[in-house]
Amino acid sequence: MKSFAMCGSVEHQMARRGFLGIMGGAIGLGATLPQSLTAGLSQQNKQMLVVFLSGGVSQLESWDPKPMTNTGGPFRAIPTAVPGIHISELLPKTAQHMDKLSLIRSINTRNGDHGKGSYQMQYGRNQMPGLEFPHLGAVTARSLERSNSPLPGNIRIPGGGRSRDAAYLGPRFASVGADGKPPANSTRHESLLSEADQMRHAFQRRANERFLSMRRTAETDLYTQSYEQAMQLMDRREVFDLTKEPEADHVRYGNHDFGQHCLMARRMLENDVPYVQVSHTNYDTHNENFNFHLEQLAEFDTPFSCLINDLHERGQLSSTLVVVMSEFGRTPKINVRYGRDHWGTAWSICLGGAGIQPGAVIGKTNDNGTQVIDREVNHGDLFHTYLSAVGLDSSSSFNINGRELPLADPAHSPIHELIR
Amino acid sequence: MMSRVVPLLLFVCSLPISPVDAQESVENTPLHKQVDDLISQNQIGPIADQSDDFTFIRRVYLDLIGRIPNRTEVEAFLADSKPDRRTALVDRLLSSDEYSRHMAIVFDVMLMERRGGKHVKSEEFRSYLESAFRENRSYLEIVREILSADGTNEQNRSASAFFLERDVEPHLLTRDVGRVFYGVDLQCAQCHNHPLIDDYHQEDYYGLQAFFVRSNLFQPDKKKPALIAEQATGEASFKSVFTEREGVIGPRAPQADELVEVTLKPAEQYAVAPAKNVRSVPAISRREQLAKIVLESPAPAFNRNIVNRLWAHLFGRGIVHPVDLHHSDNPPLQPEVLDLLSREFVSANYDIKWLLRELVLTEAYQRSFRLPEMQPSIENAKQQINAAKATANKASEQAAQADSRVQTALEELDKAVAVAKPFSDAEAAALKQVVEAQKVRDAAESKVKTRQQDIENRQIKYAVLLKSQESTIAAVESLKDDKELAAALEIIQKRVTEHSVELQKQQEAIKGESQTLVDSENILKEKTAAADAAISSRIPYENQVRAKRDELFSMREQAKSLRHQANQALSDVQFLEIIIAYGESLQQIAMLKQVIVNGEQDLATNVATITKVQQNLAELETQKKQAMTAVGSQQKVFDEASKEMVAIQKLHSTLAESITKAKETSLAIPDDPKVKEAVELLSQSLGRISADVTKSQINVKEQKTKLDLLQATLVESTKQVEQAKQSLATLQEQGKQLTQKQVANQESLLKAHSAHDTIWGEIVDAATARAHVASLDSLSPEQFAMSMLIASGQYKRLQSSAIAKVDKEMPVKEDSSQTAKDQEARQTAINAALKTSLQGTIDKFVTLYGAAAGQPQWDFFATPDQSLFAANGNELRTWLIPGGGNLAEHLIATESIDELTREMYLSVLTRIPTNDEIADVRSYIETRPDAKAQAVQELCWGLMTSAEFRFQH
Repeated sequence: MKSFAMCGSVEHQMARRGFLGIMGGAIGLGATLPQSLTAGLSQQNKQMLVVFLSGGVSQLESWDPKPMTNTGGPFRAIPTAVPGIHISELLPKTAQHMDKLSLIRSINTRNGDHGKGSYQMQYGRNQMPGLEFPHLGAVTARSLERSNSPLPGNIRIPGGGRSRDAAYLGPRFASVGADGKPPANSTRHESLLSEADQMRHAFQRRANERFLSMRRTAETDLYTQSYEQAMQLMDRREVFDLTKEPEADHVRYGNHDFGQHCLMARRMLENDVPYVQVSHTNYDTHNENFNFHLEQLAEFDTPFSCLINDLHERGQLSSTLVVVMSEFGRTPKINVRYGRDHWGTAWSICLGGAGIQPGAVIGKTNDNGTQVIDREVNHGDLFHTYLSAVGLDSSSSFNINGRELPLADPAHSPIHELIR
Repeated sequence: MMSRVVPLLLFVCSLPISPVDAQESVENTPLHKQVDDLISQNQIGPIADQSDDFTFIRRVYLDLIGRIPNRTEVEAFLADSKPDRRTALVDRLLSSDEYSRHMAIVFDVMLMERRGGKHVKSEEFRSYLESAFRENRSYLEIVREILSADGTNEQNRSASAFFLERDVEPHLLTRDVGRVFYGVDLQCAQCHNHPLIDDYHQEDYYGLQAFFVRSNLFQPDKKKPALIAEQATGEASFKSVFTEREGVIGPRAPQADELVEVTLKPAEQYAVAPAKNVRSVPAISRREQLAKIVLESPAPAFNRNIVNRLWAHLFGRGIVHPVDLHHSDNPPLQPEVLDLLSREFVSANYDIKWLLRELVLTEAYQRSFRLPEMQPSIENAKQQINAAKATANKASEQAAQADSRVQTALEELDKAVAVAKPFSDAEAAALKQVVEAQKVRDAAESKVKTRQQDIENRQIKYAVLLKSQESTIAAVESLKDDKELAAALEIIQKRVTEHSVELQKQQEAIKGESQTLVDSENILKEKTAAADAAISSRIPYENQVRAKRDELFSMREQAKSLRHQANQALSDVQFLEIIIAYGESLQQIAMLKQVIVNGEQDLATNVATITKVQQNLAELETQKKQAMTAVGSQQKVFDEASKEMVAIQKLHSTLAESITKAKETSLAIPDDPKVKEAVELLSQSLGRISADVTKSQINVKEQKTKLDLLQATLVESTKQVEQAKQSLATLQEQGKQLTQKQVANQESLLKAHSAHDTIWGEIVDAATARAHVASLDSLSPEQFAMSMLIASGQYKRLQSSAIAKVDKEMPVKEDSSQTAKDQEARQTAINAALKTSLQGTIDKFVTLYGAAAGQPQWDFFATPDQSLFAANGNELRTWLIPGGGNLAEHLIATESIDELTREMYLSVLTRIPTNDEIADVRSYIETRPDAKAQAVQELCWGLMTSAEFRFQH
């Protein structure tokens, strides 16, 4: 029996046919993209940058200020490059770039837990027991894969080695940390001369050719390629070396962690990495919300606006989606410790570049920000929107070993009016 | 060829497989032979030859003990000339310790998918499996232990890892029990019937989930080990997110009947009732019921799953692949083999070692990984396709009919559920009232008890007061003037009265309370009776629902079985179509080759003709030249003659004039003899000259004739030359066209070859899926690490240092007091030391080359960080630094390049090198005359990182 709700649509019939094709042929290496992904969409040079403000940035001190109300706190709202859009005075430099960015002020994720919220925003779904989904970075890296590049497609700044957030997409698309140092094992040992290394690789290639002339598969190709990629990566290890950036830029971005991380992000995007995520922490302000935001957002504002400016000037912004997100926002109610608590009911994100309509505001909260009153969206819709903004069909699926696995939660859809 | 395309057996049984009577196993024919017979009966397309000894020994070592053989082991096998040496080797490997260790890893990865360490240490679970394999315990027994473990059994706590490491999360357990033990990934059916897989339904998912839905992880104290607790209530209910269809289902294992459960009244539900920090244990554990079902009547799907997974372990892919997607759109390509193996595995009491042995002994397992070219008969294939298509169509039609019966059954089920609902609601309400009444009764009882206690306490105090009143009265009587004493008596008497009144009050109160207790007990009895009534009135409706549900399941199985048949036939059709395409591509290539040969011939003919025409032309041109010369010289002769004639004619007319003048003169001077004489002389001369004129005129005419003749010849010759030139041009044009055609044909041939290669690739894939040729499968991280250690000789080095360490700690006794027990202890200590020194390396490989925890572990991936590790990491580099008797040291000491290459190839690639390879190694080493040591390390590295090493083949 067919399941009725899904089988009417052409997409599902297509998916089914593709699926049966693979099953029938009984081959399926699990690396084939669905037709709809490969067919002529302009995602070739698209990239995505996510700035994750961890702990939960206050929407009232950033993208959706409510000055002079019982919830508004002490800070003013200031005009921006877009007439009519005001943001918090804590972001004066970012305000100058609002003509390149947009705001979504009507997010309701119905959650106030750090872990669950982080999951929602980065995986586009509610965490469900027994089910594992790939991270936004893995979905993007896989969908926008640069097959010729030896660089990882999913970079986390800061971070360590390869993580395990790609679920069924496999470790190839899992995030890799970039902390300003070249990747592990990317230098030749001093006992091995470059010529000797070339020679042994050439010998390895000859050995491979002899063997593969007898039997060759997609897997053997992946394996032999990985050595070529490793060699290329060794040649390009300076990509990860932040000291190669001009001193002036170091100064401009700031010599603190987040400034350096943003500069690293710029370097990664410049080197055509499809997905880059930078974290900035310490927004969990149950105490002294205002002092903390004053300090933290000051640290955020300069490097972030430098980054937007540079991407714009280099012409990269038109192909790079930039998203500033958090696991949730903060309560309009100010508690007795001058803090704000966890709040997923009515909060905001900022995004721009690539396919995002600039200078737009989606949705609205009420006068003191306690609820969404227009165009409510949640993490599922946002996830679809990010993917659409980089030219992907967010309703399409990956085919992993005969399993059709949707890129984004099929129960949601992109914010169409925000996509150009 | 295609025994599968047979008339369909319809609706014979509710399960797709009837293992017993389908095909009586042939007495005395070993299973491996039966498997090969079935495979050859169903053979479509080409089949590979037997593998050579090198391929065989490498394959069987990797599969059975998880590493490549070392050089000594290969040499020993090659030196064995007995005909049954392959079988002997297999038996030796199966009885080794390394077999148990390797299979423990294989099963650990299969069961846990690299989860572990949260509640049960990974090494503990692994050593549990290792001892199970050492004792060769039955698979069924292992599964029973795993599924019934609750963590409380100290002896066997590791078996609970399957549940505990999944945090006893019901959804996770449902998915993984389905995948790991039944080969069905029901994940999507968690939220709706599977959109793409017709066989996976929400009832399947929640039927399985019902076994786990009441269980949870119990660990009130984080310092103490986690256990599994279970409630006595809680149902698996679901609602489709698509169709909104709702349902509830009791516990039902895949392909089994729904469990019939008795409704227990609250007081009977628990062996250990739930309370704070108490692990609740129900009177009947659903989780244990699943283990019981598995043990007592394992479903065909359960049996096929394990057989298919063991097959996949050896063949690189399952008969059903992926191994957790058994369903009718993904039919097994060797269904008869899968059925036979399941049947025999059950008869052999789930003996894994026995099954592995039989499988390894099949010809199918021992085939080469190279598929020989073939010449398919397109006609035959077309006929087979027609037959298979007919089968597929018929089965599809019937499947569609079966689907409509499923729909009816579904509607009837929903109706029955609706009818039963008030009764089950009533039952639930009645049970709730029992609980309430019980609470009221318990409260009344505790009130009575408290009161009784109170009365008793008061009575004791009252007795004390009475006694002291009595003695005080006596004292007052003897000391009459003592006012203080009298006052005391008054106080005491007042107290006595107070207490007496209070006691009376209490006793009245207890009377009322006792009555309340009696009343509440009566109510409880009533409610219990009502609950019994509700339960028994629900049962018939419940049975109705169950009957309808069974009906639905059996209809679904029918539909599934029919789709299965249709899809099997379709997969044959697909393969046959590929074979036809292949045959056509061969024909196309042959045709193009013929066309090209013909074209070559035409071209050759053309070239030859051109040469001839060119020669002819040259001749003609010579002739023309000669004719031109002849014309030229004749023209001269003619011109001379003409000139001479003109001169003579001029002389003649001059003379005639002179004569005329002389005659005029003689008329004027008549009779002058001199004049007369002169006239006479002149006339004579004229006569002579006239003759000359005539002569020369004749000559001129003659020469003219000659000239005309020669000119005619020249014209003719010119014409011929022109003709020859024209035909040469035509021929050259033809040649040009022929060449163009050839180029086009060559291009078509190239294209045809590449199409042929693609189709051949598809044939190889299809043949691999049918076990007609060995697969190319990547080594697991553990196999890869161990094989690298073995190949480089690092393993031997670590072994030696483990022995040295043990020698130090427990030296071998010089005298003869070394007992067998000592020996064993020594060996255990050595193994333990070796294991410790290997573990770090193996863990590193697992982290780098293994998939993430909780993800399927069979998808291959290759990332640059792996290759950077292999190229520049310390591990490989140091393993290859010559020393400690390792491979590099051995090779450097080997003088002859032939010998060196042979040793290197045997050690790393488990085979001898070809001449090309020896030459390659020779030239490599010869270009580095001063650095043989480095060259050898580089060569070893090249082979150890080659695709041939990375893959099982």
